[in-house]
Amino acid sequence: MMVEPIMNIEEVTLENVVEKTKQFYKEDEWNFITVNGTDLKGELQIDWLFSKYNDKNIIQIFRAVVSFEDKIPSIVPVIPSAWLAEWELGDMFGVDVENAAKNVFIAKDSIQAPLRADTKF
Amino acid sequence: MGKIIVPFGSQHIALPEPVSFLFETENEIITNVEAHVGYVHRGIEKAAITKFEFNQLPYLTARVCGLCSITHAGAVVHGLEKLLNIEVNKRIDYLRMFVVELDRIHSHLLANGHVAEVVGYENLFMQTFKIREDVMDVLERITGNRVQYDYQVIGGVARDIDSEIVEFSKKKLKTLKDNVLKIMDFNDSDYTFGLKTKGVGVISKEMATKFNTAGPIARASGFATDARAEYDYLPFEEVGYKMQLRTSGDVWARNMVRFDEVLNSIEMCENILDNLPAGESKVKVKGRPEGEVVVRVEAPRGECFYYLKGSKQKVLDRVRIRVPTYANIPILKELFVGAKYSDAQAIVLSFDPCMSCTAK
Repeated sequence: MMVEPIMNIEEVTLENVVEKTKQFYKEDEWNFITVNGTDLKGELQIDWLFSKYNDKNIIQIFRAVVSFEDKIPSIVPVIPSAWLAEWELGDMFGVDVENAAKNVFIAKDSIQAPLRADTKF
Repeated sequence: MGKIIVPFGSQHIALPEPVSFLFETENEIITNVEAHVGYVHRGIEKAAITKFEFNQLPYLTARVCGLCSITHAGAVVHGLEKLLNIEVNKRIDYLRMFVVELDRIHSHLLANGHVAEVVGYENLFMQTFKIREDVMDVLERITGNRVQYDYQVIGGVARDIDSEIVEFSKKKLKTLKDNVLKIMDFNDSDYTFGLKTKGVGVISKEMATKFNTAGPIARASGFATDARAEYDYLPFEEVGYKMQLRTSGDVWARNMVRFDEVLNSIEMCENILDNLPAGESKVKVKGRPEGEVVVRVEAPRGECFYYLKGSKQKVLDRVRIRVPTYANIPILKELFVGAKYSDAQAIVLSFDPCMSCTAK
């Protein structure tokens, strides 16, 4: 019997996302999948995605809609593996992510912020 | 002796694909590491939301990776079918599972062959690649290609299989199983191979958990995670899927867990062929994708994640791909620190890294 996935989406803000993650995340219970950005044409939707271990089809999403000029806080103090996804978010959307190295995913001489809707190539 | 910076990649004899690590070493022990993964960024996510219509996405995403093209196409097909409210029949599920598991077999054998090569066993590398040819023959017969096959399409599969292919596949799988057992026995029992792989690059279960490790790398450390068991996209349990775990977490365990999975995949494929349901190999597709969906599928290297968002247009609003090698880079980086530089090649290759996927 196939089980339909349950996607719990919780709205967060840049001010409370680290605290929310801290309260929610237990490393042996939740798999941190990635951070995803979506250009809403003028604003950036950021999703922090988690799936539950040993429990079919449970997906938890923390979602914030922010400006491209906002500084994105890092959840690495809570989830040590999150740095790579945060650095990629910075490179792909040209946003400033706390403690993120730049040009890890995109070479310096490439077109920058390729996933911004206004980046054409 | 002071600190020495040793570059490893982007071009290196042990690396199948370009990635660069800068190792800071002291007396040949790695004390720090810097990773660069963006050498082959190809803009596939951008292309998916600008240049390609949704029904072309399985073809595009199959190009994320030549080795696990079926995984990427399968993930995007599954997501699009959800957004289009398409239900497929059991025959389609079984045919998809068959090719997915064949793909896992050939990818795992390739990985284990590469490990054998970098620890100095060139003949074992060649033997492993030789026996892999049986599964390549089956894949070629079914899909038309040895790698990079466009088998999964929205609403079904590109072509059905007949009784002749079923018999051909059964014969090949039997030979493959016998040969895998021989090679596996060598990996398991050879003393010198053990010296080069046992106790090298050890990931404890706690480390694997802490760094959200994926796939065979996690399972070789006794960390039970597998998208086939955690997300319903194909009925794996019906055909004999069993999660394979080892506990020592070293290079050797990563090889052995892949062999365990090869044997389980062969068993699953045999069960599929013996119990292939009747039905069409394609159902009707209509409409345009609307809404958002997350998909998790188990690629040979671990969990592959897709996020799709559509708004009833021909082109999707967002296609996000997170591949298993990407998920395993944080633990790989941790693992290097404290390791001998001379073990770096075996550690990297035991991760079966796919940079083509990572820099999609």
